[in-house]
Amino acid sequence: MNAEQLRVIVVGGGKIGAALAALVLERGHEVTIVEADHSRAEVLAESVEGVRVVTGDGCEPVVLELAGIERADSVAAVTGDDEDNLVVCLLARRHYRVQTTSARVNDPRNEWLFTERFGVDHALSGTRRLARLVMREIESG
Amino acid sequence: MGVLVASRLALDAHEVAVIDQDPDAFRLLGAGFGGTTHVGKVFDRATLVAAGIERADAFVAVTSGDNSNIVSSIVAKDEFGVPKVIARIYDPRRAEIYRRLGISAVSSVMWAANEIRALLGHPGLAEEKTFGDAEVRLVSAVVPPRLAGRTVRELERPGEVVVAAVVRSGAAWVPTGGEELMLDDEIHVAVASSAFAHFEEVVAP
Repeated sequence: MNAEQLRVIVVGGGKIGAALAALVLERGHEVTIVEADHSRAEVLAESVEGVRVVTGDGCEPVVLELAGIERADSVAAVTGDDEDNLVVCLLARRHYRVQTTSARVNDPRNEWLFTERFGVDHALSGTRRLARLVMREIESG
Repeated sequence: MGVLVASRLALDAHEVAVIDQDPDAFRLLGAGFGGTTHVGKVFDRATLVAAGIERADAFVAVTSGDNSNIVSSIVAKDEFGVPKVIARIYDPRRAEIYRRLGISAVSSVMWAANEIRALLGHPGLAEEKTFGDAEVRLVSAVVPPRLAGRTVRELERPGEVVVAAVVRSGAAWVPTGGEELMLDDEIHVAVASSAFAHFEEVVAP
């Protein structure tokens, strides 16, 4: 393992989680996806080459430990539930002292919660970002 | 659970506001409920403000979702500075983690488990209260014939078992170590979990 290689945990194995994991691997880092749904976890293990998949609730300390959170450099919480993403970041930062955390904001109304208070370094709201991009297209005709 | 907490607090003449996503939930409060009800998510800023969180003395998070309870109690405590915040968290191990993060977490599963254990497992022993994550319990027992005439000191273990009170013929007092116990005395004892099995044997009928 070279010095640049990061250990990344992705919580939530939906479309975003899968795409993110593939990107992480492409950049030569190590990635583990945590996915609660068994059949979805199986699909991920088969479809994303080189990925490690842990099945379980990512808000559960035991599951995060199985995923290797104690040695992780970065955690990304990208489930479809804002409270779950917040709790993952909170645990990652304040309980496991993970260096960097990123979280997906599902409902723009919850964006105000995604701050250092919950251990969130980077909050990403797909909805808001997309809306902004579409608006730009509209205005540019 | 929220309905129970809310109605009891309202009975004690506190001013209570209840938040729930589902307006149907408020029907359980009954017609006599004098507090206010608010439909919305428990960590939605506008809903919390409408419910009066900015001047609340206490915030209780008892939804069926651990994560919602965690998120809303942190918001109440850190964002709005509510002095007293309590969250119900099912899983005892998680409850312990959040306690360390400064949230008063009560684990209903732990309570139920202790209660069941007390009902099934300790003939002659009744659990009255647990402290922390049940590291210390206050239990009561009736002095069996085997222990009659033994001193309080013989029952105690430094740092693990302390007899807090003796009740005899309806009168209670805090005993000294040299005091002799009598048959059918009711004793109230603080026991560390490390000594629980030992103490259980000692007072077995």
